[in-house]
Amino acid sequence: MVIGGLVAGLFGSLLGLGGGVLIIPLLTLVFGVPMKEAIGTSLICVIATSSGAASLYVRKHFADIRLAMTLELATTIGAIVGGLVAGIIKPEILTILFSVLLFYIALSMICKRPVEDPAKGGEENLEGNSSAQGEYQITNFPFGMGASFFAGNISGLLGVGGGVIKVPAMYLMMGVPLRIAVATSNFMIGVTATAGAFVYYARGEVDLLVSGATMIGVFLGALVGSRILHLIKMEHLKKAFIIVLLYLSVEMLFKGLHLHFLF
Amino acid sequence: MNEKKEKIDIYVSNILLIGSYSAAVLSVVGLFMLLFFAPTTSVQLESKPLSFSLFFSYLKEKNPLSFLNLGILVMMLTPLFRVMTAALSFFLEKDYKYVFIACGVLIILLVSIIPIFI
Repeated sequence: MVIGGLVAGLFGSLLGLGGGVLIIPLLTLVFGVPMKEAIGTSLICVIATSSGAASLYVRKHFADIRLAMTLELATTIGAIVGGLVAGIIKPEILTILFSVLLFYIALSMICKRPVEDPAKGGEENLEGNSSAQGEYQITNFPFGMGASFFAGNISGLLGVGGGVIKVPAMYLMMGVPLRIAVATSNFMIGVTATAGAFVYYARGEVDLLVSGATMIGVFLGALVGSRILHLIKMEHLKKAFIIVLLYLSVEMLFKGLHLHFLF
Repeated sequence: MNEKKEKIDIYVSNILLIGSYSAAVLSVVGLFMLLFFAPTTSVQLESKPLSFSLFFSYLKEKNPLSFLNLGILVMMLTPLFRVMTAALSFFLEKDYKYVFIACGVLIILLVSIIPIFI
């Protein structure tokens, strides 16, 4: 489980994902952990990966903390609602919804242009971003709050960070520069996941052994990933990851329908 | 960026690092104890989150599950401190609108914690 978490954390940090998209299939398909406990564990791992990244973004002043705080009003409520809804719906339905989410993430990775990691910027970019925060005008604010609520909902319901919804919403609809949208989303992810994680924890759907082991693996994987990022050819990794996501999407769909694909 | 804001950003960043590192260390300690000392301690097989009374009695007994539980709680509480420090940062900048917003987020998070105590 520690090794599995390490792999999920490594790929998550290399590809800019929270790790939840890999942790839930790993726990449910390989280790046979019940879906709701896998979601609770995933939320804790999302907090672990986002805390490291957010620490860097805050130190370098990449994240728009004011925007993040405002949108967090919506994401945290969304996460609590998502966590509560997950408690009353069948695990099979959650598994099928998760399969749809994996398919959507794979499709969005195929369609979108590469997102630059804010942490890769040099000092001159850092200063530029810092001043750039005052230069852009936030538009479509009600839409942003709605999208944030939805992202929080998905996070609480399916145990992911929700960045896959927040970043496009901020960038495409609210006029936030892409770099700042990515960093701001990363800052928000841990807080959103915390709101959802407490709901699962209170229901007893956080297994201490599974969560502890996976969290250590994810934490180490994210640390290693951030250090070897420059050594990896992202194009090949991204293509391989899309195939893995599509495969996991089908596997999770079959699991939700109580059919057998490969596992 | 003023010096005060810069300092607080560094505090927030340090809180995030200290929180995640200490959570990881506590979990490693719990797992090691479970692997190497579990046969001699009374470890319950079902590792659900511990109630507060059980948590403290396990901690006294140095039960591995209490360390694992503490590690997970520290990790879950780290973002809460992130919001608290941001609220303090806005307060020092006299940006009261955002102090109010950050306090709103804090209240929502505290509401999500309440069921643990019930």
